[in-house]
Amino acid sequence: MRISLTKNVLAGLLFVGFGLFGLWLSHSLDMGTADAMGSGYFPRMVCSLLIVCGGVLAVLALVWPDERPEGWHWRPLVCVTLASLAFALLLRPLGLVAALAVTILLGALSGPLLPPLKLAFLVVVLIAVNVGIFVLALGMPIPLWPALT
Amino acid sequence: MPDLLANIAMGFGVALTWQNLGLCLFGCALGTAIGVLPGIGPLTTMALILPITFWLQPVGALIMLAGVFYGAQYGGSTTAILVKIPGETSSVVTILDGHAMAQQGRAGPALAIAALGSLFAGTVVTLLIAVAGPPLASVALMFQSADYVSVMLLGLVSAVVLAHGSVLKAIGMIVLGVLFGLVGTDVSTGDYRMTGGFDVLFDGIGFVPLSMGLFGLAEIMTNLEEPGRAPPATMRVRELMPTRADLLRCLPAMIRGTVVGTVFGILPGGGPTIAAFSAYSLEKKVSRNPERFGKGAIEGVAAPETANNAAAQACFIPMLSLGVPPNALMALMIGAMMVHGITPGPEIITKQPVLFWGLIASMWIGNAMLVVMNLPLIGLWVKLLQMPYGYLFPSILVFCCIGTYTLNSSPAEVLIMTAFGVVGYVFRKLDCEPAPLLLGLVLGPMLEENFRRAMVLSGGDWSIFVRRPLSLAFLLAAAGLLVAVALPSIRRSREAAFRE
Repeated sequence: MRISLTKNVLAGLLFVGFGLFGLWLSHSLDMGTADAMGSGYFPRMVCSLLIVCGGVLAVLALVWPDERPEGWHWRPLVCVTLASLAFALLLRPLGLVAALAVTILLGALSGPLLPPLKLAFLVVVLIAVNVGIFVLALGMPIPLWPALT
Repeated sequence: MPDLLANIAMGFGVALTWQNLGLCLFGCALGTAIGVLPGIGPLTTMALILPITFWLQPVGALIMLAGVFYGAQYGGSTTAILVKIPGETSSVVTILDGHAMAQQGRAGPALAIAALGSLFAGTVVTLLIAVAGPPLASVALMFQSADYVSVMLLGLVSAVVLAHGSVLKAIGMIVLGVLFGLVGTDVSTGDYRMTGGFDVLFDGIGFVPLSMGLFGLAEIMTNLEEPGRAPPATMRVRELMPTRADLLRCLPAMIRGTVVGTVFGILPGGGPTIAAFSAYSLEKKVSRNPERFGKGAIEGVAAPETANNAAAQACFIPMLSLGVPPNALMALMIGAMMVHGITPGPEIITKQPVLFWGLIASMWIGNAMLVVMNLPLIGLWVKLLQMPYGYLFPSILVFCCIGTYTLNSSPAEVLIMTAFGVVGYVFRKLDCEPAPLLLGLVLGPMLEENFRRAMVLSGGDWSIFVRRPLSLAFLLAAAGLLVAVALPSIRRSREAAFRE
């Protein structure tokens, strides 16, 4: 039998993976007994259920294959991920204004490119709106500019 | 009865303060806007504005979130009728007759009947919540832990049955959600569970980063895969008011739509979309001349539009009176309440009367506002459709990032959100719906707490769940549902309903 990695097989494997990972993470937790459960009782139950569920899903899909996942588009995935990563990592050292600008530009790369002038306009407007809402109106203590040390 | 009137009066007193009126207006306007825009749904929007609501009073926060939800039902119908694009999935069936009417030059009456039907449903269901909520909550107060476990299982099972696609996948997503809900400090022992030693996870996986990642970021990624949409051609709206004959024809359809919508709204796992589909097929079945449907029958607009709004509001009944969310949107509302330090459950009505009655009164006010906002301002909303996604998605992206950060001033939570964005994209590619996961995330900790307490009370005896009559009834209902979905005939009709 040829093994084909269909949507259901992959989803099943994903569930099994999460279940095993959960079991591994909770291996040191106290199991306890049914009338006095430790912190590990319920997590183990849930992980086992997830593994069973994913296993059945994958096996059924091997016997009756469904369609394969299609149309992976890497650009939006990578650019959006990088953009929010950049925000998380740059906010503290560079301040809100610079972090927002980097995030917007990286994010804009993931779709059809806007003309430079429109993009610049978008960057300015979004920075102004967000600084307005979160820093000026809500008074969040977010650094706006790079810390001078 | 006098109690009820006094309570409703108090609710209006709360909802009619300037601040709450403003929040209601803002929520409804935002809801209409995202309802009009395809590709961004109420779940994403509610997740996006969640961080802002933490600066508000709990009542105001819930009023605004609720406004987004039912406002989206109004907005979705506008685009369905005028440009044949469903702004929301719950408006898909409205296209059939609504757009046909628009092509016959009767877009105005179609829009008007959609708005009036929604107002009708909103009024009836608001009253129903006010009347039925408190007694239901007093029944729920008799629940013991075992009963709670069973009612939550029933809720999760019916969420699975009513979700579309593979049943096993839906179960897997819910269980995964429960698992994510367990991460963090165990409340009964104080142990850190499955944190991998990261201190950002000691308080658990945050509701906001998870939903922003799964719904905000992942949605951007999938939307960007489609080639750019051409701005749609729009219809002119001339005559607005429906004729007397239209109204007479629609009134029974609206009443039936309200009933269908309410039932599907209360049912765990139900919601506006399935309610609209069912109401449309019911209307076609009872009609004397079903061949008119699809060719501009005004009942075909009235019934689903009434039903989706009825369902959108009826979902609040189990959420407010039992503390058990029937779908992911209500799970999000519960998440918002918990962040405000309000424990969901049957005590809300007695302990937080201002919140309960204020929210109910605001729903009625919001519905009235929406009719005013939608009919004369229709041109404005249609203009919104012309906004290119190129502007929209960077705004959503930035809002996800900064919203998640401000919650706890923690860049690490933005990293968690990013991770869930990637996971959410993979889920979408594998046809795993993320909404049941959210339900599991919210219900997971409640489920564990009640399960442990039930087992302690019974001394470790599992039969406690079948010995209590209430619990047994819920479990039997859940088992019945699972059997039903396995039966071939029901399975076929379920698939047909989702295909239409």
